[in-house]
Amino acid sequence: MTNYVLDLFNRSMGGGRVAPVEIVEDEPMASTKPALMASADSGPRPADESTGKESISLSGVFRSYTNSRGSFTPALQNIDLEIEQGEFVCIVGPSGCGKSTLLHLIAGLDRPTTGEITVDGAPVKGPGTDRILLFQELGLFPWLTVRQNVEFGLKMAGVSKDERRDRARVFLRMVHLSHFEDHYIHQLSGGMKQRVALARSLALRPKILLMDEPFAALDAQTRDMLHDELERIWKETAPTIVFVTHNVREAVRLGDRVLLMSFRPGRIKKQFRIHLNRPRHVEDSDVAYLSKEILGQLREEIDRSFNAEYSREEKR
Amino acid sequence: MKKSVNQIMFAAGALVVWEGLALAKIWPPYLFPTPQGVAQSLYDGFKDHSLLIGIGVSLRRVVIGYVISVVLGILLGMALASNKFLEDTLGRVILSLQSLPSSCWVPIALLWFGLSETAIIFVTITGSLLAVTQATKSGFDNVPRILSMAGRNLGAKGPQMFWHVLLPASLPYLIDGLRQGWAFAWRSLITGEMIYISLGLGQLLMTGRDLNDINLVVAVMVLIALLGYIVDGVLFRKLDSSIRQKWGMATAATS
Repeated sequence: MTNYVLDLFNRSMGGGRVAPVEIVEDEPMASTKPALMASADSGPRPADESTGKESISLSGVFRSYTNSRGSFTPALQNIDLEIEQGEFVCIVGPSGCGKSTLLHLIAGLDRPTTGEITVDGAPVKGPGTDRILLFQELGLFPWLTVRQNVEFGLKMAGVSKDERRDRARVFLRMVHLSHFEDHYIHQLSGGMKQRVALARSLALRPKILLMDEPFAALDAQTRDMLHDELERIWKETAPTIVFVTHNVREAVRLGDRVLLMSFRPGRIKKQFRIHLNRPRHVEDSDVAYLSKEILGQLREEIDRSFNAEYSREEKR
Repeated sequence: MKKSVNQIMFAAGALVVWEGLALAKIWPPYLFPTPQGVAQSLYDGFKDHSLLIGIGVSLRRVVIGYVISVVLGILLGMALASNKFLEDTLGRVILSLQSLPSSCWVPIALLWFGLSETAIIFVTITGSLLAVTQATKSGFDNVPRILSMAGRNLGAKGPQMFWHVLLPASLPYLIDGLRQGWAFAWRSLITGEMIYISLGLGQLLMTGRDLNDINLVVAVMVLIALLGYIVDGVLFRKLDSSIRQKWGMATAATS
């Protein structure tokens, strides 16, 4: 095992109720000296300052769907997960593994079939502006200008007009969109829309930012740039981030921890702690090396799910 | 530019053909109008104010009927969109009633309201109410789920959700419905006005028939079509395309 990846507990994949994933209480990240040190480190990260206090906690979470014809699909099975305050957690998995469902559950836009989700110790009962979800499809409001979009959450919260505008401008500056505040959404490029969505979420100063494949539809250069911006903003505003992606390199580039989920029913199969210094870059050899390892495991999972689907087809 | 040239050429051509047919006297002059006759009727009608009065009276009625239809239709459409039970029951009834032409409502209007202003407005409403209802309902049904989720996610609740997310998100569909409702209201009004001596444009049509004045009949028809077009083609189309543009929807409107 490489010393910069602490491959945590490997979940047994047998049938029946499986033991919850346990996170090894490894040394605090700041004191772990990566063997492959990148260039000069740029100061402490929010995660380093974390008190180890948990932010999000899921225990025994199941989520299944029954469609109109009565067929039953388990989407998530027995998810036990603890996420610390200020941690940047990335979730990878084959499509259809319930990654998005997991985010919707934490956001309170969906309810678990069984199990409990708590945020800062309080059970999640519905959506709340302490947890903001960035949708893959963004969901920006086309009838509002860029600034009005960013102000939306503040307006709902009853913040006064002047304060709304000032705060929106702060976050628009943060995502470098100051010159576009009066544009409408359809006048922007994909990357700019993405940044508007980010600013709109950040304007509410959420403690938790949930991101659902936010950069999937962007070209590589724009994505790289947004990775840098996101990392910078994360350092500045210190939210807990749960970031879903199908791109393993992106996960390694961004995350303190990468969770690998199995195909339907979605379970957390493995966890990896990433001890590479920041700022990282997707092209870094360390990132590539780690990605390759995780990708190997992910491939295995994709193959397994594919075979399962295939054999099910055969039986019919 | 080319489009308007084409349009003028076509209109001129049509006039020439029309005049030619009239001169050929294939049909007796009391059955086939001539361009000059229609123009004369329009001139006389405006000169003795009968057309102006007709237009004024008809517009007043259609506005009253239309406003009532829009208010009721939007409320009804919202109720249908938000309540599954209503949609399955009342919604179906409304769909089936929509196939009734407004002339079907004339007898019931006469029985209920007699030969009155109310009867005419009632017929107008029957024409447009259901169209507005239906369009409102489908407008709300068509609000992309992602927008309502985003709204909830950002803290919009109850009435906020309605005013700040659902209503603006369904506006492009609503405009469609309002536009359709207008067209139906205008048509139904003319039907309603043919019931009795009512001063409106519909009644002028009947006057033309009673006097065997084919030129007056066609003149009034031209006027009805023109007024309908002005409101729809000018007012609604402008509104529609400006909303589509702002919403960033591909605009098919070529104007």
